[in-house]
Amino acid sequence: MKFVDEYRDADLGRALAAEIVTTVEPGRHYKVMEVCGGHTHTIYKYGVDDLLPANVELVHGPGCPVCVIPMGRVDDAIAVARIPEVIFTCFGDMMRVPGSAGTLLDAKAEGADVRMVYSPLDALRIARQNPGRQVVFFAIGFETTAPSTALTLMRAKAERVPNFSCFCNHVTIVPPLRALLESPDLRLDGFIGPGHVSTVVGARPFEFIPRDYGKPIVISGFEPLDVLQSVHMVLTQLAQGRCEVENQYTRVVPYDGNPRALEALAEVFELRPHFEWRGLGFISQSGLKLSAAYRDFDAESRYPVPGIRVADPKACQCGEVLKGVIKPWECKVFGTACTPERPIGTCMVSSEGACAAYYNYGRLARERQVV
Amino acid sequence: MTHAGQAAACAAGESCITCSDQGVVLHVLHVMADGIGRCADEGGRVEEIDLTLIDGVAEGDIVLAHAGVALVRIRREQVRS
Repeated sequence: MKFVDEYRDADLGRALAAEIVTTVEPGRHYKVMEVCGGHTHTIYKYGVDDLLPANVELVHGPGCPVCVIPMGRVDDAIAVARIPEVIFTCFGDMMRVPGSAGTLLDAKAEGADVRMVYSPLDALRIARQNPGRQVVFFAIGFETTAPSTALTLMRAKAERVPNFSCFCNHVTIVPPLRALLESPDLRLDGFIGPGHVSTVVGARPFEFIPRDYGKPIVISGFEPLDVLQSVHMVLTQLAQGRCEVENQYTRVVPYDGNPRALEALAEVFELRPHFEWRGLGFISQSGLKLSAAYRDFDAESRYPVPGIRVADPKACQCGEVLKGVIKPWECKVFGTACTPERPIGTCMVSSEGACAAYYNYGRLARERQVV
Repeated sequence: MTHAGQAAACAAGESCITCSDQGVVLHVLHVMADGIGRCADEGGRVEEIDLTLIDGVAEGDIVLAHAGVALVRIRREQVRS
């Protein structure tokens, strides 16, 4: 397949793996976090970790947007979805994320009008087609999907669509990275940086990682050779005693991001003082809400939401998985009580979730078989 | 717009191209006056994408889209070896 096969070439992969072996110090253990759930998916789908030396450990980060949604926000979404005049729209993965008393899919089965959409623009279209109903879009995601929500709200405002609103749960990537770097639980050597978030924000926001924490970060693409090359670049920095922001994904990521997308985000959103992340707790200035100019489109202003913080199920260890403290298979319920068909935790729901990636690609073994 | 192909991909357990916040590479087939473009993925599935965040998008361009919005035009360079 054009523009894909080039990045899945097995011979190139083996050559890169051989270079990695010569780059690492034999007695040293390396922990490299891939921030983005898309990278986790690639690593386990293509067996990238099997090509690495045993002393190079990939740690999964918090960059799966579905996985970091706390249960209380799911409960709030379900409360809005149950309002009779509401058509509640969301991405497919969100329908299966458990709240404290079921999922949006359960609410749909019980009569709520919950519909899956592929973009907020589809939700706006539903609003235009149903002027007698109120259409609410469950907005989630990092800076990759936030521009889509922003453009949709700008269109809704320009077209004066009165029956469209947004339940905003967008988050930003830098604050949780800073929280992880401050965490005493985790000692990381470097980061594989989020490729698609960087198409919007650019590489500049990650400069604090080498500057303040002395760690390298390499912004990476999502094909297996992209990830493997990025691991090599991180390890090369460490071997040479450097720590910088490097961009492996130059074919897609401009260093300054997409200024027009950033302008749209600045117009439509503003930072919340605090936002709760599953597993990471409340993080200051990490979540987005609608700006005053778009307050009329804010579902939280239009409808009462419970707004109650709900603790994760005790059996679920998504929090530790999201922080990279444990591997998915170390969770007590992984693959037994918690499976993609009947998930307990968010990490098993999304295809980008670390637990789902392990489970779907047969990574049930507790010992890695290194080739 | 039809998403039947995407839904089938989700049902098969593969990554859905947009519903879990994943990017998709698309070829621009036609750009309409309101900044919306008809775009196709490698499998030939066509969807409407908002192109307004990128300057001068034209037919034949390749873009990366998230949740129905093109974020960047992709350059056709090779992987560094």
